[in-house]
Amino acid sequence: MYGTLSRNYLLVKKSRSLITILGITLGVTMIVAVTLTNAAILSRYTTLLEGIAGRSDLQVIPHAGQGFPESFLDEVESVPGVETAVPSVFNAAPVFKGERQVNAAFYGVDPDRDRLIRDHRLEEGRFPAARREAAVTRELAAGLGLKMEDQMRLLSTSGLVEFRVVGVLDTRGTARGALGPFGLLQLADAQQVFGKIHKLDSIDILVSDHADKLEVEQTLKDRLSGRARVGTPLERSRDMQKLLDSIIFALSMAGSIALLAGSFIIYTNVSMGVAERRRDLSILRALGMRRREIMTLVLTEAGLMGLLGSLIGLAWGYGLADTLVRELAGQFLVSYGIQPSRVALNTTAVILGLAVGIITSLVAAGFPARQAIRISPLEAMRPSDLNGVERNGPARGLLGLAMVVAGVTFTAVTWPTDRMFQPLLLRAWGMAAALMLLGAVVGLPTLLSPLNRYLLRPLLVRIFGITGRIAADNLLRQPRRTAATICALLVSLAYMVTMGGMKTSQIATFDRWFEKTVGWDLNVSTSFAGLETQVEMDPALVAELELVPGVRLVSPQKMGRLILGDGDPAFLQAFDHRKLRLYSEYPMEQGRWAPAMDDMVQGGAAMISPAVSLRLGVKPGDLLPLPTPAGEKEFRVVGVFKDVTPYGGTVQIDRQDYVRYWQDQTSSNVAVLVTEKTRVEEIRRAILDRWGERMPLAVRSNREFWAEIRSQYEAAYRLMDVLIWIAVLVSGLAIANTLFASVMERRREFGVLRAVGSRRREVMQVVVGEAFSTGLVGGFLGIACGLVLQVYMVQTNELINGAAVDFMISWSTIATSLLVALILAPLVGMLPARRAARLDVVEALQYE
Amino acid sequence: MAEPVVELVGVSKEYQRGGTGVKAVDGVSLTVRRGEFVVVMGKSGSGKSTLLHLMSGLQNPTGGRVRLLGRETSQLSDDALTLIRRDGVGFIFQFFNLLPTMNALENVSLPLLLARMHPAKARERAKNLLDLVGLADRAAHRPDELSGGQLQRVAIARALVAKPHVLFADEPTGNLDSVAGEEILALLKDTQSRLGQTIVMVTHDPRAAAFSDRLIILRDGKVIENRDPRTVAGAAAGVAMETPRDLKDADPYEGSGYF
Repeated sequence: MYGTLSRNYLLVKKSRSLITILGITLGVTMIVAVTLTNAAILSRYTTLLEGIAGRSDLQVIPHAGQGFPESFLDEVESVPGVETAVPSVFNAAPVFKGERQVNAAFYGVDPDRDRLIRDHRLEEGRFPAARREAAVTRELAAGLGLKMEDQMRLLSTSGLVEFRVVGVLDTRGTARGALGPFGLLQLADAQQVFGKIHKLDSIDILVSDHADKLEVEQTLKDRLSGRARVGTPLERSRDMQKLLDSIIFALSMAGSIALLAGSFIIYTNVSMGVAERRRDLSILRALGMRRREIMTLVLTEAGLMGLLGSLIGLAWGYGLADTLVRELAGQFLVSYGIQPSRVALNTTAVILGLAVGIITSLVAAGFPARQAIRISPLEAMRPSDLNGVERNGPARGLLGLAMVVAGVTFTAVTWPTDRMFQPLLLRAWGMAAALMLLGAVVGLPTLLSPLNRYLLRPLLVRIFGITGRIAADNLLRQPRRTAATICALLVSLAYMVTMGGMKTSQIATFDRWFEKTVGWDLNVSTSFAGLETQVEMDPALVAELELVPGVRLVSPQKMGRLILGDGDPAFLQAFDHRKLRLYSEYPMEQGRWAPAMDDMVQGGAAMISPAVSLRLGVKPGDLLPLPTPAGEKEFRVVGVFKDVTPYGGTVQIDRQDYVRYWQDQTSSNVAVLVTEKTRVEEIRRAILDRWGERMPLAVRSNREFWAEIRSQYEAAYRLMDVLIWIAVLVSGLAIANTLFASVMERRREFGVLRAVGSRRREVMQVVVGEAFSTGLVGGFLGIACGLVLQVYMVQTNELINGAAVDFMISWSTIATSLLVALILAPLVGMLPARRAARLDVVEALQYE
Repeated sequence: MAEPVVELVGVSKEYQRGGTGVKAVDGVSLTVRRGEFVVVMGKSGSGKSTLLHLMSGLQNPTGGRVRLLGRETSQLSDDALTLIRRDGVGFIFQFFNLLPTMNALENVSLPLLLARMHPAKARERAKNLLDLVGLADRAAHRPDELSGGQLQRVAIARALVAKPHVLFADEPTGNLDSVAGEEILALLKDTQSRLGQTIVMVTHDPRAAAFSDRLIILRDGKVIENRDPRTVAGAAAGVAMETPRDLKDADPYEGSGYF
């Protein structure tokens, strides 16, 4: 019976039901998209790791991504219980054939030995058996248009090298499709072309059946004593999860906000439905329906809409996840050698999407449902006057205040002073933020009355006269519903202001930092875009750069990832500080630059970012232990510098120390200073010409480098912008929806206004004025909340990913938000306003 | 003879209901003159409310002509009709239809403010009207703080505040107890006597006839009686006879000081 009653009502109120469903849909879409994206990337990475690890029980990998000495292999093999140890080298690199280029992952292995651990299956041909031979996947072959026995050119540390295709790999083997374009080289060949002579990136271990794996693992750890990481292959996926956490957190926030705005729509719609059907419901009560059954009826309707919205949300979320994965892949997965793939729906996402959608609907509908069960059967018999004013005592205001205070207190008490953020704490803070917001929703109705008296009413009377007065007062008629609508707008605008502010702040912080620290004229790297080059550069090439006319100084810079003592990654920079001090000066937070440089030049010293200082509790003067292939080495901390890189913290050491401990002469990029600034372009040309066909180099000017990184920031926020506008759209729907409700509920009042002499446009003014008030309050509160949230995000950003952000207000975003609030609201108000103006006076007067 | 305020000539109103036409008002001709107190009675569904809507220009007839304040309503635009309502017509309803967010004084001044009168002047006039209906001391009360009778008095004050040529009342006592109902009828009669206010009232209330100058009885959309009630036998119209209070000695319209 509930089904029939509900279905009939939902069908009658088609457009309203649609809006409600859409509200839920958009929220669920985002939640599902975020979940699927997370799962897709992680599973992709896991598949990749599994593919790479094959059957191996344990893996030895470097603490930093620069490899470790080949001699470790003997040490590993000598450990009792190690049945087989298989060495390999990994590098992503571009390959060319004619005009075509593909970025691919390459493994240097000993094919015979490697097959003990990994399944390499050939579609045709054979495995590389001699130098300059490669077996490639079908995908790579297709990308370059390669056939068997064709030559392809691979970028090595010292230039392009010709390789002959001797085999085509079946992607169900090692690559398992996860790697995309992928190739196998001979181990020695790979070591040579990627500048890893006598080095390995990984040793895969099979433990013999009768040995205890844990025991073998422990022995290995003891033997290698901090010179490399020993663990099960899948432990590495934890690094990826860490990286994903902050991105997923930001996206989840956007999702939750859309869902929150959606829940306000449900609240207003269901309460509208209840108000409209007071008489019907009281008749049902009079006919013998129990309170519980009324409750079930109302909740069934909300549940149905929630279910429908969630189902559509699942489908849309799936589509959005696909876009998200592609975007994210474009941004940073490239450096992990992961290719984006199609997203797969999983049970978790389906259950989560449905649960979130339906539960949100039920909770939001719970409040009006409670009103519904209070309807007396007598109401059916009684005629009624115009709806009165819903009163709000101070109790609600106090409750709201208490919730906000509780949220603030929790945040203040748990504020980390001696550690970085852990994901669990971040989630707890998310809940505290939700509590504060809920407090605002609960308290806002109480706040509306003074707001109306001192702000809205005088303002609207000034603009519209008496109709403005009526409009302002109408906000107080259903303060809870008004508050819910305002909150829908508030949260989406707050989010817009926060993210706009963060973008402005991050870019401005980066700009300032860049101006100060990046003093070189040209930067030379291999052709990969972005901060992290995949193919390092040979020292001979660096030396040759000094011969280019007009080049005054050449400073090789090494960058990579490093696992710190707390088990989490950080960014490692190795600079030649004798040179660096000539063209760069970092803003210091502790210690002074010049003396620090003196210390760095001496060697054995390190400069760290505040995040590292916080994570490990070290400050200038302390000793910082760093894992190196030569064992753990202690560096004296000589300064803490401001950092803008988002890799969880940065450690800077001198190049001489790096070369000594890592036995690595290559560099990631080279900073070049020219003799005359006016000749930069000419010198760039000269560098490009000199290497030309030999080696495709990327030579960026200071400005180009800056623009490139800036565009990366912008790309990251572009995605956020889409999500923000979805949230704004939902809040626009909420406003239109509430106004429709208010028009339908008060049609008799509009009839009276028309009867006593209001023209149609004056009636429109009343409704548009109401929309304008909603926009005004939602807009200003939204901007205020957004700025507060931005302060909080600025404060926490460094604690989440190590990148410092200076607080900057984005005036353009604030102007946009204000425009959205003051234009969108009245604009969407026009539809219900027209409805009100067109009401037939007689019908409206007779409406109950 | 006083000038006509509302004139109906062969007026009909047909509704489409379930595919068939229903005549709510059927060929009615009548005239309401300045200063008259006309009561329209009839059973439920007899068409009396529709007749009121037609007379007041809230609806246009499907046949015949309605002249309100000398203008033919079907010839007027919506805005022009609205202005006639605003400046020349007052309404009171069964459900008092006061705006719940405004107090009594503000509700009364609403039509003046809609007509863009200066707020201070509107307030002054609204005060006088509240005084007229005996609610000077309730000016600051909101609708939910007033009794039914008081609410209807405020509604009457609101209807009179723009000095309407004619006041239309739709079941003004329908939602009141008998004492309050009688008070309202007396108040309306009083405004007619003192201010010369033209009143057209649709009602079920049998006592109302006694207050009127003319009683119109409708059945199935047609006028079946149209005369001075004091000359009609109560039995004919089902109306209880009662001699109205003599208000001849009350203040004359010009000297009322309420406007």
